[in-house]
Amino acid sequence: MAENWNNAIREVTSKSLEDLCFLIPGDDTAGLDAEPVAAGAYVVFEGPVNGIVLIQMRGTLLNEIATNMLGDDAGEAERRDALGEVANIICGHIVPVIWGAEAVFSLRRPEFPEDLGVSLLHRAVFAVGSVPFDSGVADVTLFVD
Amino acid sequence: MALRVLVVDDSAVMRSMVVKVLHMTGLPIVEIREAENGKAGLEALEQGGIDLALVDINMPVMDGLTMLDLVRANPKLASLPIVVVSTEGSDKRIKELRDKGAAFIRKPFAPEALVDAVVNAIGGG
Repeated sequence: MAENWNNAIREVTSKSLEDLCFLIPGDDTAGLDAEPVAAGAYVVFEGPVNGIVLIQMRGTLLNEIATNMLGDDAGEAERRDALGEVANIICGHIVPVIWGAEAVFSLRRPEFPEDLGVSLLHRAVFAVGSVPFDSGVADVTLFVD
Repeated sequence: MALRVLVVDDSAVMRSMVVKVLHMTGLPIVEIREAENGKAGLEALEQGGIDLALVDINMPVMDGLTMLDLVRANPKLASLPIVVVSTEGSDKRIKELRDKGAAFIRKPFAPEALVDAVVNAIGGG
């Protein structure tokens, strides 16, 4: 696993959440990385390389994302939809960073696994990155077939 | 020119965000309709009265690329301005969309980028 791809995941995650919902990453996790995973979604991509981008959120990060995107009255369905859109955007941006803008990838709709353990995915970890925010941590993992 | 806009995206959150931004743009928008997939979007277009469509690519039932092909193949809709709003932004995909007469804007987008894309698509740029 190349450290530059881990950095790329962190950069794409930071920029995506900043552009989409005005969240600015913090300097450290303030212990939030020890919190249990509160929500997760993954997106399957297919192209020259096939794989999955999984995003897992700790703390109350998803609530903050949904509030910033939709306002205070975001319900469970809206939070789930927002999480899927975040996963979709991060996947759509990280894949061309790693495999080049010429490569055409198709992204499937976001999935929301009941069991958020990555062991379900049966794929090799290609790169990982965690980004801390005031309300929680976003863990992003890219698996390839 | 009063604009009637169709927003096609399977994500209600993203449709909501696009609608909010459209209302903030200052464009002369008099109506915004929404559809959750390409099939529903195509049906909305066939009912008439839409001046511009903003369309996602990755949707269930019918994706945005299929919808775009069917719109371009329909003589009544072939010249409709379409802006594809998607996370899929490879060079080849963008060229493919432009060849089909669609503009492209990548998610997440800045409000001014959406305005530019809409203005260019309707011929005001």
